[in-house]
Amino acid sequence: MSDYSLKVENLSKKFDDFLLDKVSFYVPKGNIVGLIGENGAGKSTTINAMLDIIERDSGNVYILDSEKNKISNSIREKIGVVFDENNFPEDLTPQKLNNVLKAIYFNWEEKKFSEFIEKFNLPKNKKIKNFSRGMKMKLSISVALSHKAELLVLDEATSGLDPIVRDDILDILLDFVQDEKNSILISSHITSDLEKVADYIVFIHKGKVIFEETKDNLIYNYGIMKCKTKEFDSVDKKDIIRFRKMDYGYEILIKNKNEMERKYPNFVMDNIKIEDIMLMYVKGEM
Amino acid sequence: MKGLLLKDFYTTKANIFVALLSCVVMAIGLSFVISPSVVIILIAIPLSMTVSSTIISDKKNKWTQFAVTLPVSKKQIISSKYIAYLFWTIIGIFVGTLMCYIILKVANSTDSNINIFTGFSIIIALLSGSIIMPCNFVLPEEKSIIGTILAYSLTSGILALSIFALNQIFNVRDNMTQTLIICSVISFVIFIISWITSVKKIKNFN
Repeated sequence: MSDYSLKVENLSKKFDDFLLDKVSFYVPKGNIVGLIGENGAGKSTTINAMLDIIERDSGNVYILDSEKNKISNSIREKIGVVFDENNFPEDLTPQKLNNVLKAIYFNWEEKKFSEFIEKFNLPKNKKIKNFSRGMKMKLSISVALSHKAELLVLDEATSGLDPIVRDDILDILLDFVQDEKNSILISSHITSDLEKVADYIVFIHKGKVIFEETKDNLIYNYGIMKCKTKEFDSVDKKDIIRFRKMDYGYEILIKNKNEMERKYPNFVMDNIKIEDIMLMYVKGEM
Repeated sequence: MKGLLLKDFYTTKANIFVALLSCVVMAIGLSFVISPSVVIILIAIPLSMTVSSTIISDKKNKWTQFAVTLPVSKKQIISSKYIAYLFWTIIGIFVGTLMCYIILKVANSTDSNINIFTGFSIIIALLSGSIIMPCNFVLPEEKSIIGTILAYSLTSGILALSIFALNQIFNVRDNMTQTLIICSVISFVIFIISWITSVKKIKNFN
């Protein structure tokens, strides 16, 4: 029995205008891992290549207790996937969808699915095409959670939803990982959602993994150091991860915040959000 | 597999009813002008076409992408479409033949062309299906019309070529039943080749 639900090693996929370059990360059991990055960074490509939706050029994927690169049907039984938009035929109703999935999933839990449908106030006999985006997303989550999944993969599942629906969904995700054999990989560019629920953050930029850290380490150890233009040259270059020239001076992304506070006592040291780190990596210089 | 077929049944049910109704009305109208047996082709072909069109709609609503994450193999996803296509072709021929007999009964008439039109229905449905199906899997939605045009042009070509070749061996006009049986077998073999090739070659679903 491995201690991870998902392990991705050197995953690569080349398109005409984009390269997913040796992406590696893992999702420990009982944890939520957030995959962040700007639009087009490679999050969805990673998920699609990982799940065999697109053919990968190279790299290895281990899901749950599967052998290398072999996602058998019994493993797929244990994976719940939610994409960023509706993936169900729009002419179906939740009731008909239940009938279809009951015939596909060996472990389909009809009762649990009905409970979710009721909990989310989704009409059982209304066609999916008449659902709002939030309702469609709730339906997708209901499906993902109704077949004894042990790994949830959510690709931008919360984008475009209002804060109340997003909060409902995040609560359900937190509830899901209460069982320590369950885990979640959630890709999102809404970093505030991940700040609420994620244990680990994997940051992808231009098809490459920039870092893979615990969320707490990012929030408590990283910081933004602010200094005036004339003071910038006095900063040890080894301490600079990224910097941005602002109107009033420089903003510098640093690690080991406490140590930096001691080393540069006259500089302003701000706490950081995941979004700030992402911005510094994308827009900052090195 | 059962779930995939059920999903296709649900999604095509409404379309099939409308297609069937309009085909029956059109076929009855035409049967007064030409042979009543024409209803067999007029019902069987559109009915089988509704299945190939689900490949496009599955792509449009991203079901194909989701289906790959389900506990079914890609082979089953592709095969379910071919099985549904065969199923609706048989249903179409059956309903068409039944309609033909009803028309003949009402008109108190007879028609010697029933076998010919049944044969042509099988040949056209299988040949066009063996081209449309992989095209719809591989081509993007907006280019799916290319598959349809290609399918019917190639179907006519293959059919004409087969009849020409057979005519070199025996007189096709005098041996119409044998000709249709041979062409039906050829069509069925091509359909099976298309099925096997699609299962083996189609890897990307996004």
